[in-house]
Amino acid sequence: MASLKIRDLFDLVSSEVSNPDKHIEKVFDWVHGRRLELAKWLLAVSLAVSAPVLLAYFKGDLTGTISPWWVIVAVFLAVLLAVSGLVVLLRTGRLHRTYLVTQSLLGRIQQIAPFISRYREEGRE
Amino acid sequence: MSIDILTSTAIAGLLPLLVRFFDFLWGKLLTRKRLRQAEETLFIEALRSDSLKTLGDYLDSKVGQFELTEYAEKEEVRHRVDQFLLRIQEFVNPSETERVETIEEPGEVLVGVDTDDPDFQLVRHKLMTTSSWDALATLRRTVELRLVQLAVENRVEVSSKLGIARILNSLVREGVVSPTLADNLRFSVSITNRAIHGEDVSYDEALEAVSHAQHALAELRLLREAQETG
Repeated sequence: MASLKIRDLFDLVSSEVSNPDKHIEKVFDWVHGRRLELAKWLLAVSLAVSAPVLLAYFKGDLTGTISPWWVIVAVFLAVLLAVSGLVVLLRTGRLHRTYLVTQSLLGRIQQIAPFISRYREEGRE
Repeated sequence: MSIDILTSTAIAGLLPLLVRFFDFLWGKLLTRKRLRQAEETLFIEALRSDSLKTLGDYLDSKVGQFELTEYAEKEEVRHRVDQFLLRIQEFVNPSETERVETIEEPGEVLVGVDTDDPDFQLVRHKLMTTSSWDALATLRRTVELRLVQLAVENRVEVSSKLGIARILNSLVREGVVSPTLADNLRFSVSITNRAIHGEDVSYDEALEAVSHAQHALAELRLLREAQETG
């Protein structure tokens, strides 16, 4: 999503594809799905990494059977993945607003579509 | 052990937040750089150039460089881009009263051509050397400026935002411009509007538009001079 620029909307409109709004919807759907998957994956791995440590902690043999370094590494990874997952999840939530704003921007760009097409045909070097 | 579980947890929790924070700062720096590049004065210069290439280049490279997330999340970017698009819209889309329409060539052709008019020399030069789009955009701006000037001189209340058609209607209503002159100007403006809106306009049509407008404006100038002397 970060790499999608307003220029891409100009290209979309000037290429005269039918229903450019549907194309935008598809892109956002794809980004939304991908981000959601990534967030789920990060949270699931975090849970998987932290589960043995939590299990050992509740059994009371955290320092007995597992090396303290492994505990530290496991907790570090689990928290890192969980916070990363939450950050991705929060950013996914903001995607709806970007989608709505993009659709309205597309509508405005469509109003100057003939100008953009002419520039693409004649003016561009 | 120098690092305990709590320290490790804190570092792990802070790392993604730090990455996000630096990403945010980097985004802010990029936005500032892009906003500087898309400076308002440059845009006004591009509009004044009446050049398809200059205006299109500006739109493509300066306005188009913003990312969609920047546009959605940063008020300043959204405001700037919207402003630019609105101006382009005003420039390329004729107002409601002068929608792209084909107007018949007026039967009565005017004769008093002012060949020394530097604005029309520029329009004809553009027509021969660049594209008809550039020439007709300059022609439309010339006609609009002259009509606004005429309205001001005759104390007719108009705004350039009204569009040429409405300004012309006001001037005809107040008796400043005759219906024949107005028809000639409307014909020229209809061709310029078609070109600016992106429709194909042939060289001959462009030449006709320039001729009619030049005749009409020269006639207006002669009438004004005659009124001033007599």
